Amino acid sequence: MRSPCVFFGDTHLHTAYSADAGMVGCTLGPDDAYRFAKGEQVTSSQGVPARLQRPLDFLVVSDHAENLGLAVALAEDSPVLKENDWGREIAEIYAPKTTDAQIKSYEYWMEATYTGDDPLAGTPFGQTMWQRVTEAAERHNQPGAFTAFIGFEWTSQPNGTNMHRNVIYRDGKDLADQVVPISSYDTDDPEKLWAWMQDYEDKTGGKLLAIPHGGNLSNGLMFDDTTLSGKALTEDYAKRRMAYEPLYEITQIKGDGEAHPLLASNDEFADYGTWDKGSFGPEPKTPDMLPKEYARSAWKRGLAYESELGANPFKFGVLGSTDAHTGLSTAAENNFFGKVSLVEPTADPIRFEEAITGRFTPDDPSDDLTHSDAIASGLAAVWARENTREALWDAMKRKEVYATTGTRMLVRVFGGFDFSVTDMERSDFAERGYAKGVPMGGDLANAPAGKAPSFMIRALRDPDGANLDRIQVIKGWTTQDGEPMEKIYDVAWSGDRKPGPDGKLPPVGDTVNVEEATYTNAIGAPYLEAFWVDPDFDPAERAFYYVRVLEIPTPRWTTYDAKVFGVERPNDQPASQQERAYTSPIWCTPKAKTAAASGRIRPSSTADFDGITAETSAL
Amino acid sequence: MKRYGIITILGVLTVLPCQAQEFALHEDDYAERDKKYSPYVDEHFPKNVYFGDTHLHTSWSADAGLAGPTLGPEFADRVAPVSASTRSNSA
Repeated sequence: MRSPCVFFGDTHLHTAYSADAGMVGCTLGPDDAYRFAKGEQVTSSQGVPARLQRPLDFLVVSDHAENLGLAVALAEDSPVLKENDWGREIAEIYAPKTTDAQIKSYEYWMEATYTGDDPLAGTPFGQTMWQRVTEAAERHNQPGAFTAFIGFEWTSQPNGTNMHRNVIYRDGKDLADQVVPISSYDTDDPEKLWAWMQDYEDKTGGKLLAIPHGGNLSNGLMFDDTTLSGKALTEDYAKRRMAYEPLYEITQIKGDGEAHPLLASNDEFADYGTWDKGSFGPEPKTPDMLPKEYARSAWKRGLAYESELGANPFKFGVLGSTDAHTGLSTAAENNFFGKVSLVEPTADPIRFEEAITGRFTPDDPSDDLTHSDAIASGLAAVWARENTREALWDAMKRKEVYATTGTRMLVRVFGGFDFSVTDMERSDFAERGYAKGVPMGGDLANAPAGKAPSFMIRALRDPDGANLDRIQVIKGWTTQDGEPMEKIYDVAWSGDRKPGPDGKLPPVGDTVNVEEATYTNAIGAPYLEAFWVDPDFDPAERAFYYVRVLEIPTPRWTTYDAKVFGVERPNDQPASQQERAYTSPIWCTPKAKTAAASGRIRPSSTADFDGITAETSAL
Repeated sequence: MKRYGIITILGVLTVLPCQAQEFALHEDDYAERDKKYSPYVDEHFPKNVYFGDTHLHTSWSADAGLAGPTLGPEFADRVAPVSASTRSNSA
């Protein structure tokens, strides 16, 4: 049996098939996106040659379902668009193919979206274009070498709030083609998305999972205390949500969603990629929304819900992805092709100044976020035994995944009640970890009397990247009175630093040469490990533990831009930043209803670690 | 609940029609892009280590096939990239 290893990829990438990409400058399609992800050199929509430092292992092209392929059909003057009046009209507006005609056709499409009704309903357009997307995925999927997932984005945004979900297929084209993707024309309500997913699975025998993202732009709706339709959360809701949405995209270009500085005042690393100026709608952000937008707060509140409802609606794992609308999955600071094609690498001020939020209040810049606020983030890291749709999807389903803000750190975590410090040194470390405990995303329950959960953690820097500053364990729990708590433990760090009187470890330092946009690995450590036992464990409390690994400071993408293009750095952005990894938590439950005995709970989807799966044998 | 549809912001660029002139989608502004940005374009040195075996016998070698092993080249090619393995002596 081959041990699991980490595969890096992006579950959230748009191409010209997304109307808001293809109609405003993006000309790269899914084939270009897959070729680039596999390491080929491609030319960007703006004519800039682009190549990754190293290929990705997998990619989900997740184009918006709402009139998916519209721009491509317009560019091709495709007859499939001309099956109804609206299609013929937009084709006519677009026909001159000038910039002006493109803008006018884009406006024409947006007017249609205001109505909430699909302007191409009842035509074969949706099915035709979907089949082209699934064909591209089949063309590029190479089991064992590169995984091209089939997927799409369901773009719900009631009142301009971000409730988007990416839907990821475990299946191939034969199943995916049987149902045209659901869109926000059909519904804005995630519960109806889940019902659609169940219908698809019932009809085809396939499997889907959805990954929400952008809670920081949801104005409190992402992890709300009610359903979108205003009902109280129930056990049934919690179970359905976790059945279909086991993961959350915790970091991406439009901000980082781990923690907000106002919610974590004792966390000096919480203010990273903070986007808290509202949503895409007119409603301003208020502090009461924040706990319902960030992963750490949602995890804490989920524990309280579990104790109240008997099920946890926010028991999700995490990964990162880009949400780029360029067809180019770039999450590296020195190789960042931006959020959309118009802000691809250039000395032009648009690269930093293009407004992303705050457009509803043009006279009030206080709620504006511009592209200089964008972060070159993130990546999805998946622990699996082989690079196939089935193996990667199963790992996502069991939450054995973590997020990085763009670099390829290797992070491994095992939690259990029976580990000893000598287990860290064993040559069969990982086998021991799985045999006596659970990996990230797993469950511990019913702590044996007198025992606290222990964690074996290893982190290795990106081989082509920066050294590591520290490993932290972040614990969240609810007291027996129901109060949500959190605490951050530094468990391993580079050098001989000693925590100060306030308990804080001193900063690792900063080698960044701002003028030259360089750094050195003269500080930090290439490898860190920790064996950590919770010193404050109370077996009566519900808790979760996740690991955050910080790199030493490296230049921010805007600093690289200043060097490459000879432009001024945006003065409201830091010159350097610390990339990080966030793992899916391990949860520890006092009385797990499903636990046969005390100790670890092994999800059924990991049972095949003991043997060879059918998929493996077939290869 | 008031509904804006998919509107203003599928991504960054979406703006209200009345703001469309702010797209700055004019060719004049972008006639010349800097072509040198991505540091890995045209990179010519090796970036990865690939591990393998240049010297493996299967049952097709007389001194192997006549002395126990039953696994042929097809199996060896299959087993290398994947994980499953069935040892000759486990059957």
